[in-house]
Amino acid sequence: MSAHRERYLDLCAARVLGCLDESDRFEFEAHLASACAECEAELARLGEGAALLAASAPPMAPPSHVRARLLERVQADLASEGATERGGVRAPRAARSHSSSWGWATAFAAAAALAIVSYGSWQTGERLRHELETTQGRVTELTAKVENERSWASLFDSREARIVSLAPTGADSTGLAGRLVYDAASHRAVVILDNATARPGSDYELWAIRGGAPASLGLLRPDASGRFTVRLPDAGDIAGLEAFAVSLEREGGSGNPTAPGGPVVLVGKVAG
Amino acid sequence: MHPMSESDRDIACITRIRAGDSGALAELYDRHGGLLYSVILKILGRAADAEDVLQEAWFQVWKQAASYDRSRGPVVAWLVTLARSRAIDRYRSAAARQRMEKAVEADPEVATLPGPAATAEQDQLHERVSTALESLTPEQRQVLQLAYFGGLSQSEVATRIGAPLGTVKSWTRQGLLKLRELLPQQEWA
Repeated sequence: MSAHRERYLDLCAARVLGCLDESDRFEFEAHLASACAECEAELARLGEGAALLAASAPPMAPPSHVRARLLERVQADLASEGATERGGVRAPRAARSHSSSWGWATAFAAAAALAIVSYGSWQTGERLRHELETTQGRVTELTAKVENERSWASLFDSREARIVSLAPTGADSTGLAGRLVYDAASHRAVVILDNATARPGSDYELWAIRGGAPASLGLLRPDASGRFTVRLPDAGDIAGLEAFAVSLEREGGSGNPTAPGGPVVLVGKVAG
Repeated sequence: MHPMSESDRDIACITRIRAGDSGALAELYDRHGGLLYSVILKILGRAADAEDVLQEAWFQVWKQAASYDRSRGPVVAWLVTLARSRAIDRYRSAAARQRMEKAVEADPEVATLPGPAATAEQDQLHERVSTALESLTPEQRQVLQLAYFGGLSQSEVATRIGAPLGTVKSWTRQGLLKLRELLPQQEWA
């Protein structure tokens, strides 16, 4: 677990410098989402080091026109915010002030105007109600997503979590490597492939090896952003598990759930 | 009563900016505008681009002061991170990336650029940080500069200098820790 801890502390340094590799980002952000106090403290400490690095740049003063333009822009921003707020208040006051001191015709016109305003208000109310319902639905949906993300993030903190390095077998020369975080308690796993690229006409397939016999755990495909970070809700029981392996298959996979059809490109032994 | 430290004054400015006080933004700019400009200029190498990004960064400070979280470090660290991120974004989108990378290592363009003089405080801080950087190993110094000013990811740094990724990660953290140790907070905040 100590090497695990060191790894996260090293990643703290990369994060404050903004140079985290994409392949580390998911795992580390998931870890941070679990509110690790040690990493939070390290981030603050190293963040100051990073800010100091800024002062190693040759000192220069910005031209004065930058400040002037910035402040002009800020004033314009303040003015536009102010106008929006005032506009919302002024209109109803104007409507009220006209309604009491005119004759019946004017009163009728005012009543008609009020009816229009009331109808407009009712319409606005309906629209707002609809927007509120939509927003509530969206909040519920996002809450469920956050819960799901939190649940996956907790995998990295599980006492039963194991990290399995997936080392290249030499069957592939693209620099492919990877790792798998496996939670023996929940049987969930996250697989991260480095230097993997989606190849037209082929797929990566993940295998669990027990007693020397492989069993397919499914295909590893990139997410919408092109990253090979794949979540497995059920990677099976740890009992008897010897290793995980990744094979390069034709598109769609091996077709045989107990034997890779293509070359095995990555293997990671599961420590006992 | 103790006089307010610069760090306390920065926090007070952030609070005022959140309330819409443009004078607080001007005050914060006067204190840290030079540092932010220097970082941006070092990354981008061109004064015109740097001025543009500087203004964008400060306008972001104006609009997003509420996102500053005191528990994550001093205001100046937040400002510098924000400015650097914007500069790196601009840098990555620029066609002349190769030319900029040279500037990171040698400063040829920046050194010859005419510009208003920095403040005495900025000069002193630069001296202290430069001296501290000299105390790092050349490898630690190189990985920090490539990552921070060059905008390279750790894998890219490893490829660039031909070192194993794990070693680069270790050099990065050790370098930052050493820098922090050599320049405790009161030296600059």
